[in-house]
This record gives sequence, structure tokens and C-alpha cells, in this order.
Amino acid sequence: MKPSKTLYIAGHILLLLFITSDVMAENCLEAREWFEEGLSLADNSEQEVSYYQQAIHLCHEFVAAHNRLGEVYKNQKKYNLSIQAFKQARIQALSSDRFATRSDSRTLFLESAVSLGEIYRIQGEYEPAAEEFTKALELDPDSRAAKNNLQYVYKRLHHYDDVLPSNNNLLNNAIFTRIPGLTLPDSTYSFDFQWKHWDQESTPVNVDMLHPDEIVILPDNQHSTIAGLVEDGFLTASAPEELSSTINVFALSMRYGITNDITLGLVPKVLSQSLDISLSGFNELDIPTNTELGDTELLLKYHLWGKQKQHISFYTLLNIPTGKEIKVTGKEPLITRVAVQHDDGSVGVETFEFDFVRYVPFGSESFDITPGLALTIGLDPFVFHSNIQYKFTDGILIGDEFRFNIATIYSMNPSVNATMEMNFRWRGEARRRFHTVLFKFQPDAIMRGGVTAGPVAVESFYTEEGGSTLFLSPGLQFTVADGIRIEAGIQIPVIKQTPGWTESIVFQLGITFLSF
Amino acid sequence: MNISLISSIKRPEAVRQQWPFPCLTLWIILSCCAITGCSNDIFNSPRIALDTVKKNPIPEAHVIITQNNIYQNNRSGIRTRGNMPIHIQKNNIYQNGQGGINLNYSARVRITDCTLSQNKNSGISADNAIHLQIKRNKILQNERGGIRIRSAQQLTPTNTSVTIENNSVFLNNNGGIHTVSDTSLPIRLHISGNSIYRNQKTGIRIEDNVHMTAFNNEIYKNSTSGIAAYSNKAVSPMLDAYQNKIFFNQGSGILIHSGITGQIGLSNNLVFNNYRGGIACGLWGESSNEQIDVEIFHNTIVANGSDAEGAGIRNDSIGNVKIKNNIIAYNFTTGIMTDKCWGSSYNLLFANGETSTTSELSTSPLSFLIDKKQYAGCQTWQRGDVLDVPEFTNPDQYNFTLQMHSPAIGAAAPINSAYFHDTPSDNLGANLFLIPAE
Repeated sequence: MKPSKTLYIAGHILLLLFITSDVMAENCLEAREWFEEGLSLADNSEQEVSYYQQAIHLCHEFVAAHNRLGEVYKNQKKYNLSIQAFKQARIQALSSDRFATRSDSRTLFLESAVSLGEIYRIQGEYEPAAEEFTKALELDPDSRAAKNNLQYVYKRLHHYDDVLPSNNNLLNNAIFTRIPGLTLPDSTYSFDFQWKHWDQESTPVNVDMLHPDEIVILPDNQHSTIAGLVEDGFLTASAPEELSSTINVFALSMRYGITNDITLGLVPKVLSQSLDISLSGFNELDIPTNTELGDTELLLKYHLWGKQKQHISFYTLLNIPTGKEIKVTGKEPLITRVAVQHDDGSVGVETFEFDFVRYVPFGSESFDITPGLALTIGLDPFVFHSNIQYKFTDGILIGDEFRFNIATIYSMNPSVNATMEMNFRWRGEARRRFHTVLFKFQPDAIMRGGVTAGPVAVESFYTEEGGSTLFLSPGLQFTVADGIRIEAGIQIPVIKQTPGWTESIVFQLGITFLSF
Repeated sequence: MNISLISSIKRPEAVRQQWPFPCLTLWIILSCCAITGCSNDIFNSPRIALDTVKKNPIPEAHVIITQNNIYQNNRSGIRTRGNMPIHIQKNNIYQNGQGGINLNYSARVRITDCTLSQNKNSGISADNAIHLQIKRNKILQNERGGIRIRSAQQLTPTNTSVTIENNSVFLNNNGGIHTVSDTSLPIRLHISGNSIYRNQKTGIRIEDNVHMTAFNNEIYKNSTSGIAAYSNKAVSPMLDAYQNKIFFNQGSGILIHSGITGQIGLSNNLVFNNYRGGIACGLWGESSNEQIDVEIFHNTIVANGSDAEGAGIRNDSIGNVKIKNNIIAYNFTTGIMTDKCWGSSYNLLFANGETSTTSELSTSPLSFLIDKKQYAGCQTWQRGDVLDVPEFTNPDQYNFTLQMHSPAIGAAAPINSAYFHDTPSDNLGANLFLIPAE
């Protein structure tokens, strides 16, 4: 074929296309007039239908006319015809280049998807309805009509796990700031179970008082007489070089809403403690672990003021001394040799077996009261909790304690919250009782041929100094099932008190159940 | 062009009661004209032509403009000034350079059975009118709203009364009906039996000193709220909205940014699938000092909302909102979201927020969460509340009548008002038999 002929044919084709497109454009202009006529009727009449049909006949790719025709059919309850019209609208929308470049193309496409979904919904066909609304949301994640309808459809399907989040979250509790400003609704319960684990240690303490009729014989002083030991000053000798313990606390918190404004709570605890005492002369002392009931806290909270997401409550915690000081022995007896002066004046060496007795406190052994104030503010997606409290004690086993907590909870998604807390604690001095008796004789028994009178408790006293500790506490909360939340967090002491007991990092795991 | 002039000394009694103008009257009737404009902006094109119509005379009007096509004029299709009674009837008024009908200063006008479309300003606009009746018109695709009524400060305040009945107001580029009064005397606005839909802003919007009664209207698919009340001045609007069907609006069904309800309140309305919320008081996320005192009684509020603000009933203001005897179900975020967590009682709440509420679940660990969700985290369970399936006849097809075994039946508390004495109901939710069917 000659190039000139090819050009000639191509020219004709182009001209034909040009004319066709010109005719189509002209037809579509006329179609718009029919469409406008239909709109001006807007009475869902057959006449209105005929106007849109005429418009579509003139211009197949007139998506708005298809949509409007589908809408009228829907209003006339001719659902099958309506579905056909909306599907045609979608086909035309997808196949038309011209449509794709229009500024309102997305709106028109969206309209067909939402309308189709509505028809399926009207017919009770929830699954295809959900599909259409999902398609609409893929196109426009902000489509209010699609979100609204999709949530409704999922509710009708009882697919509550799929229901779109409303971004209006409940006020979740924090991990370490355990008392929020909210009270429980009337006649409702909440339960949570917490496990807390940490190591703590204390620097050597100075014993300032020992029971006057008790003495201690230490292995290092094998060549001393009892009298000599007494003179050496057993006050110092009876104190441990180092104290450390590993503590696990298992707390069950039960709360009940007596009224909307008053919540009663009970928090019994079980403690497991391993007490490691380092004494000079005994390198391998056993570290026994004991698990006992700890103190129980009784919570009474009153909702002072509140509106939707801002609440303030006053509360008081009463410490019930259900935990006792427990006598603990390890895998002893230990064996040591002690120099003894016999009646004839000779000095001999006797071997003794003895128990190493520890006394571990599992409670304060006093009724202590802790008044406090708690505040909760919800600012989606954040929730802020804060509480401030002061514990009044008798200052013996534990000192007074002031706590100030601030917690921020960020809802990452409906199932996961990230928390960050700052927990400040100040402790006052405590007059601690301490039992670290290795082996004891009654002084009058020593001089009777070295016959031991058996171990005797020796009670020493020292002052545990108070101080301030600041923890930074990140954590995560996971909703694993309806009404069940698991949480994990750590408390990092960024400012530690010295001396006195100081925690290392505190680990906490918890599970919460919400129920009637 | 036909012109008829009729003089009259004595008026019929009915006319005297309705139109208290002087006895000596001149009647002008214009009809059956085609009045088009010229394209030159220098000239004000003619607006009306006069003709005599001998059949069906309308005695209560002095000027009758009937059966004309008034289109493509540079300015308004019809413009009036002064208080001569005018009846504008059965005209087709479209594509005019300003409004379709523009009424100025003390107008006493009836507009009936007209079509007003594609005008560059509002379909009907009235400033400081005295008495307007707008009935059975079709008002569509006007650039600045369907009907705009304003009263501005003037030496002698105008006592304006407007009745808008049985019109179709749709596809206007602004709101459907917008009324604002800046005067010491309120505009008294009665809106009933209208279909107000697909307008680009609010279906009905009132501002400042307007007293509105809206009933038996269908208000749907407007681009913002169905009904909205605002105030920029010291005086807040007063409204009673009852027996309306308000649905598929992009904003809230009813939004009272500022306003108080009258003797009837917001009662017996069916409010569903509005995308910001059902009934909202105050402005979302802002607790300001709007004057709000609203009673919300016996409404059926279903499946509203699409985001955090999408509660069935919401009060973000510090004002008073009483919520009683409503059915509030399937709403997006929550059922009742009030700033103070009180003010509601005897409502049925179900499946609001992301959770359901059924009696079977009442023993599950979920129940606590469920209740909290119904009340937006408030203290839950107000007096007389029912948290159960409402048992609508067919909510998928928007049929919210109650089945015989619905827990909403007989659960309402009596409301002491004249309106509810006339339309008593023992059931929670709207009395749907009072609301016109499609």
C-alpha cells in the first residue's frame, strides 16, 4: 500500500472518530437537558424515569443519569431495576475515560456503591451490602454514608468485632496508677488480677538496739570468750552485711458500685519473698522462699464531681493487717566451731549445729489509713489519670508514704493501648525490727560445760531511712476478648532513694475482667 | 399580555380577617405571560406582564400574578415592595439573574403552586415582610437557597409571620429554608408538610429571634443538618419540631447550636441515618455558653452518625437538655452523650456504639462495656431506662413501628404538656402514625 493511500485512510478514520465524538458530545449535551428535566420533576414518577431513560439513551456514559434512575427505582421500590441502574452507572464510570477525568467522578462512583449497598440492606442481604459499603470506603475512607451504613449492617449481622470504631473510647484504667477518678456504675463489678515482680536491696544497716540479755557468737570470733564477744560489741556483729530480696505480689482487686457515686473495693494480696542475707563468715547461706498472705486493702471511693469524660473522686484505703511477720528457716543447720572455756580453766573447741532464723514481714502489722484524690480526663484518643495520696502509719514496720501518680493512655487501636506513667513515692523513716540471729546461748548456760540452751531469738532494731523514688513506667494493654484485657508494664526507677530499700525494675502483668 | 384592573369597595369577611388593608382596593391580575429578560445589564428587564383572568378569581389578594413564565431576567423574576396584598400563583419562574421572587418591605404575599428554579439568588427571598404564605411550590436548583427570610433592624419593627406548607424545596445550592431575624420582634415561622431534600446546606436553618414550628416535614439528604438553630445575638431562636421525618442528612438530624424549645419541644420525630448524629445540642468538642434549653421527648432515633460525634442524642453545651421516652438504637458512637451525664430517663437504648445490648448478654463480662457505650461512658442506667432490642417491624426498610412484643411498649412515663395530652402515648419512641408516610 502506498504511503499516500495509508495516510488517506488514516485521515478518514480520524475524521470519522472526530465526527463520532462530536456527535456523542452533542448527544450528551442534549442528554443533560433531559436529565435536568427529570431533576426538576423529582417526584419519583414514571415521567421522571422516562426523562432519565432518554438521557441515557442519548448518552450511555451519563453516570449521573444512571444513578438518578437507580434512585428513582429505589424510591419506587423496584429494587431489581434499581440494582441494574446502579451497576450500569458503575460500568459506565469504569469504562469511560472522560468520566474518569471529571472532578465529580469519585462522588458519582461512590454514590452508586452506597446506593447499591442501601438496596441490599433494604432487602436484608447484609453480606453484599457490607461489600458495597466497604468498596465505597476503599474509594473514600471518609465517606460518612458508607461508614454509617457499614456499622449498621455489621450490627445486624452481629459482627461486633468488625464494627467500625467510633473513636470515642472508654476511659481505660492505667497499669500502675490503679485508682482512677471514675467510680463504677451502680451494681456493677470489676475484677482484676495483677502480678508484680521486683528485686530490692538495702545497704548495710546500723543496729542501734539489741535486746540486752541476748548475745551472739560468730564464727569469726572462735577464739573469743562469750564475755569477750560481749565486749566486742555484738550490736555491729549482729547486723547483716547486705540484704536483698526478690518479691512477687499477687493482688486480686474486686470492686463494686454501691451507687453510681460510691465504689467499694477489696484488694487482698499474696506475697512470695526470697530473703537473701549476707553475713560475714557464712558464704553460702540458703535463700528460702516463702509465700504468705499479705495485707489487705479496703477501698472506699466517692465520686465528687464528674461529667462525661472528666471525673474527680475522693478515696480512702484502709490497710487491714492480714499479713504477719513470718519466721523462716533455710536448709540449715549450719555447723560452726566455737571456743568454750571449761570449768577447769581449759579452753576447748566445741562444734555446734544451729538454725539460721530469719523473720520476714508480710505485712505492716498495723491498721494504716491512706486518703487520696483521683482525677481522670478523657481527651480522645488520650486518657489521663492522676492520683495523690498519703499513708499514715505507726512508723514501725513501714513509714509514712506519699504517692503522686500521673498516667497517660493512648489508644493505638480498639485493641491496643500504650501507657506511660510517672510514679513518685516518698517514704518516711521506719523503725524496723530485724531478726538475724545465728546462734544463741543463754549467757548462764555457757558456763555449764558448754551445754547449749538452744537457739534464742535475738531482736535488733534499726532505723530504715526514708527517701524519694521516681519511676518512669511504660506499658501496653491488649483487649484479648470481649471484656478481658491483659496488660504489661515496667517501672524504671529513674531517681532512687539512698539508703533504705530500693527497687530495681518492677515488672507487672495484669488481667482485668469487666462484668456485672 | 393581559391586564385586569378591578376596584372594590367591600371585601368579603374572610378577606378582611386575613388581610387588614384599607377598604378601597385595586385589583391587578397578571397572567399567562411569558416574560423574559434582555441580556443587557444596563436595562432592568421587565419582570411581570398583566392580564385579566376572569375564572377562579382570588378575592383575598389585590395583585394576582398567575400562570406566567418568568425567566432569564437580569434581576429577580418578581420583585415587590410595600404591603399591598399579592398572590403569586402557578408561575414558572426560572433562570433569573437574581432571585426568583424578591419581596421587600412589609410584604403581604401568598405564593402558591409555582415552580422556582435555577435562579441566581434564592428561589424566594423576603426582607422585613409582614405576612407570607408559601404553599405547594416547587423550589429547586436556586443558587442561594430555596427560601430566605430576613428581618433586619428598622425604625418600626416588623411583626413577621411566615407559613411554609406543602412545598418541595430541593437541590438548591445553599440551604432549603433559611430564616434570620435581627429585630426585637420575632419572625413567627410555621413550616409543615414540606419535602426538603438534597439542598447543599441545611434543610431548615433558623437564626436569632425566630420562633419556628416545624411539623410533618420530610427533611432528607441535605448536605449539612436537617434542622439547625443558631444564634449570633443575645436572643436565641425558639423552636418546636414535631412529627418530622429527618433522615440521610450529611450533618446531624437536628442541630441546636443555640436555642430553646417551646411548648412542644422536639417530639415525635423520626430521626434516622443522619451522618453526624441524631439530635445534637451545642457544638461538637466546644463547651461554650450557648443558651440551650431543650426538651427531647418521644423520638425514634436510629442509626445516626459516622464518627466520634455520631451519638443518638448529644449535648455538648452547658445548657439544659431533657431527654425522655425516646428510642435510641444503632447509632454510631453512643446512645446518649451528654456533658453532665444527667438529664435523661425512660429511654430505650440498644446497639449504640460498637456494642450490642441484649438481655441474653446481661450476664456476660461484656455487659459493663455495653452499658457504658450506650451512655458514652457515663454512669449508665438512668431511671426507667430499657436496654433491650426495640423490636422494630423492619428497620432495614426504615420501618420503625414497634412489634407487639417490643419492650418499648408501655414503658413511657407521662409527660405533662398540652401537646402530649392531645397525642398521648404509653410507648417509648415516636408515634409514627402521626408522621406522614412516604
